[in-house]
Amino acid sequence: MQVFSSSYTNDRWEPPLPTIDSDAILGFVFADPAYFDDPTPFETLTTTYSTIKLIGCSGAGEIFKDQVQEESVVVALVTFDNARFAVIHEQLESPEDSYHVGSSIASQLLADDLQAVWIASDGLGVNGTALAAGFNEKLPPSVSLSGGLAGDGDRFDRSWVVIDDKPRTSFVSAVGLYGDSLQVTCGSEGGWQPFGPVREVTKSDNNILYEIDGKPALELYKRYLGERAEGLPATALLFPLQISDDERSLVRTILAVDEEQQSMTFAGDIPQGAQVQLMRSTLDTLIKGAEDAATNWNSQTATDALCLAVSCVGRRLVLGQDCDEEVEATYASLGDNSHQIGFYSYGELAPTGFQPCDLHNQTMTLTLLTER
Amino acid sequence: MSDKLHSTLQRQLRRTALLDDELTQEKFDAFLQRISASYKEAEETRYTLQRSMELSSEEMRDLYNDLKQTSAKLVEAEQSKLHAVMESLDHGVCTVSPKGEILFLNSAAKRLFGTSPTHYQDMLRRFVPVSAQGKKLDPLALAKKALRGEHLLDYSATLQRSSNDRIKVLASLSPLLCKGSDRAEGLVLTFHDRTQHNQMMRNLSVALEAANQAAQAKGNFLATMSHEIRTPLNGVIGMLDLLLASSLTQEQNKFASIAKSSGESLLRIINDILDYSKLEAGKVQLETAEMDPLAIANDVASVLRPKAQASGLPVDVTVAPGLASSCKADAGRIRQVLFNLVGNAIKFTDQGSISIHVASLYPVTRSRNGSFFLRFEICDTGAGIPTEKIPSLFTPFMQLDASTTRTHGGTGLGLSISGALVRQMGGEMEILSEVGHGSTFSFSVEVQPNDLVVQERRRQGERREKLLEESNDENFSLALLVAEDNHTNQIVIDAMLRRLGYSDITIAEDGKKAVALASERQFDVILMDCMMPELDGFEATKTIRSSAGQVASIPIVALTANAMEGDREKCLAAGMNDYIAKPVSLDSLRQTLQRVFQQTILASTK
Repeated sequence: MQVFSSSYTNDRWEPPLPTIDSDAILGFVFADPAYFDDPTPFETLTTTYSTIKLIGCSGAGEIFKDQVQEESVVVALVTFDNARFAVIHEQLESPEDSYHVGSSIASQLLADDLQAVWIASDGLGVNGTALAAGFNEKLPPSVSLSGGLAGDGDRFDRSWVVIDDKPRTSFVSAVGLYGDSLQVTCGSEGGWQPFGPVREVTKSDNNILYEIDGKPALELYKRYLGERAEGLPATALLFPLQISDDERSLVRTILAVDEEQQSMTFAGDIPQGAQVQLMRSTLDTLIKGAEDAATNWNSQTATDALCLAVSCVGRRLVLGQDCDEEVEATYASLGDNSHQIGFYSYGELAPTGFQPCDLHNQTMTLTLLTER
Repeated sequence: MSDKLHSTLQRQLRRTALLDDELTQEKFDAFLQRISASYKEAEETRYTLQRSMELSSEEMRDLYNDLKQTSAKLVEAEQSKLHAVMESLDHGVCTVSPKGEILFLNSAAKRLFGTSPTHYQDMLRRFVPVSAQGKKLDPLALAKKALRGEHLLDYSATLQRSSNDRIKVLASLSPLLCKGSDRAEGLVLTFHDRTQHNQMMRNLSVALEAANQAAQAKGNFLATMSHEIRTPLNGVIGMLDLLLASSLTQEQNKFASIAKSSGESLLRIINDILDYSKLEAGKVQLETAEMDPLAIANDVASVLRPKAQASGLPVDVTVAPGLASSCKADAGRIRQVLFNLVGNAIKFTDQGSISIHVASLYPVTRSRNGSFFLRFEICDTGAGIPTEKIPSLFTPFMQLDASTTRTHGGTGLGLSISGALVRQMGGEMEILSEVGHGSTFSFSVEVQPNDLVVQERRRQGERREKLLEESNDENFSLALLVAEDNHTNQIVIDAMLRRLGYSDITIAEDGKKAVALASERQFDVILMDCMMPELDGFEATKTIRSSAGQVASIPIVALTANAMEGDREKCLAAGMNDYIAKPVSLDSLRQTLQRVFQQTILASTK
């Protein structure tokens, strides 16, 4: 496996795009949301490499090596020695389609030697919980399943996915990776701690939260944010919710607020009757989380390796300029012949522990690809 | 130098390339902006952290206060419920700490104490428990026992309410054990006033004594009155006798005879009343003397025979084999009962016959003094008595109905007296009756063997030999096993078999015992009740039939109360030879047994 990574700023790729002698090039690409109106960098890729397949999306910051960038496009061009790949995409008519789209793409990708699936999904018009469930329904547990939901900076307005060489909203794209030579490892950690009283969700509808302990949820957030409530919905990311049931607990983060309804839309389901608790973090705990996501993998790889880093927009908001530190931490865990690119997302897809792939928020989620 | 700077500042320098190449205004401005943004970020982070800490602390404090208030309210509500229960009790409840401080007194306790005790010592001084034997107990010792975990229940005690007011109470002392601990955290004393209860018991016993005295007085009055009436009545009858012995005209003789017989009727009535009142007052003393049961039966028969013959009724006396010729009992009282029953039989029988049957019955378990029962059966062929009326026969002054009273006269005391006498003689009266076919009144009385018991046995043997010869029936020497659980039925079937001449009769109380007995000893026939505990007749028969040896072929006759169609088939199917429906009559018993023996003889001669 060979990897070449490059960053596009000020109308040029740096380092410049090389000549690649392969008719099967897979391109992971992440971009500033503004490139929706300017698909030039994608088109330069498809003109340079006629057979390239692109998968990627917009974010709230691009990760390139050990830095976080803005107003850029990052790309990792991958060619395999033995492995094969296929990219499938489908349109999402509405968030209710999420489950169906997930299971449909998964069935199209399914084959005996399927090793891993990496998903790039629209970040706003999707129910990430249902999407993951759709994929899980069709894929055997042996297939590594991870990915992320596209972002739109801190605006929560329009996120998009690269389809062929065009930015498109309301799409889900996924790449299937095939062959025994592949080695795929996932890690996902947060670094958030619940605090304050345990509360009960008293009114909700799928991923829309209305009331906690009989009071409007928005009221609670505004009270805690104080003067920073002006920055809603982005500032609500400072206090993600931990949802617990008998089996496990998940972290959920906000996507939108509705002042009229006094409601908040989350990236995943908030079941009525669930026990929830506000969460907070500090720079130290988040960096520790990112480091933990990168543990348990062998940095010495036989061939080039690619680390796809998907970190939550909420972390970026808390870390500010120090968000470089978390990508530095993950980058430092990689070997010499490894590349790291990624993006700040509106949701991360990854398995945790013995649980199958699910939607996460506020995590650093890493997927390391290499060949034997 | 830049190595020692803060990592954020290092990054800001690197990102703005401030120290690379030449320093431009543009680079410097970008650097300043980054620094400013950094401060702003830090400020915001601090603000958010501080605010969230304050708010969550506040929320947690509120939550804590809520919790405290709610749990206090819950505890208070539970306590007030418990208090209400305590206050509603009529029993005094008092808890005391191990040190002796009084922790709680409910209002009943306060009321019962009169003046509330100040300390346990005070309470103990005023509380004097008494043992079942009436001994004063040390309350302090009891308290220590309870503290060690003993529950001391229902002690009688005296409670000194004030210097001159004390009440009787019933008290219990228990350790105060809290959940999850086996160490007493104090004592619980509960007690209630027994004054009222004791007073009630006293009143009751006074009332009972008064009632007894009244009954005694009534009895005495009746006895006295009867005696006082009898004396002049005897005078009247005696004078009428003398008058009748004198020369009278025919008419005068007739009047005097009527007067005498009326007087005699009156005397009988008075004698009955006297007897009854004596019995009721418990004043009848039995006189035990040597007597001959058969002689008594014959006496009664011969006295009453003329009256019976007037109605065309023969009076027969039959004797069961083995009847004792002599025993010790109150012959006069037995004769009295017999008179009454035979008299009744004659009175209520229009045609047919009267028979008196006498038998000795030995109890299944022999009594220590060798006592046994004499059994008398008086059978008539009268109208019979409906089953539901039988119990009322023994009610004093009751007769079956007003019309019979008119027809037959009498005081209605006869059976009551007879029944009471039989009971006093350790027996029971039984009545079997069938409307239209007649009645059998029977009674047993416990009698003592006389001193010549050995001689008696020999004479019994002789008598049985004689009877056997007379009956010319070899079957009488056969051994019979009767399996029957009902005691009355045991007596009836035993009496019937003896009357038929059989004397070797063994009773088994249930099917299991019957099977065991049949295997122990060789019987000639088994009479088997069908419904029995342990093992019913059908199962017992199957067990016997399937056993090894001679016993398997023993003739078995079913005795069954289920006189239903198909019963006979069921009995035969179980392996029984024949079948008698209850109630068993002498005739059916005789015929069935004869039939069974004939079949057995036929089978054995084949």
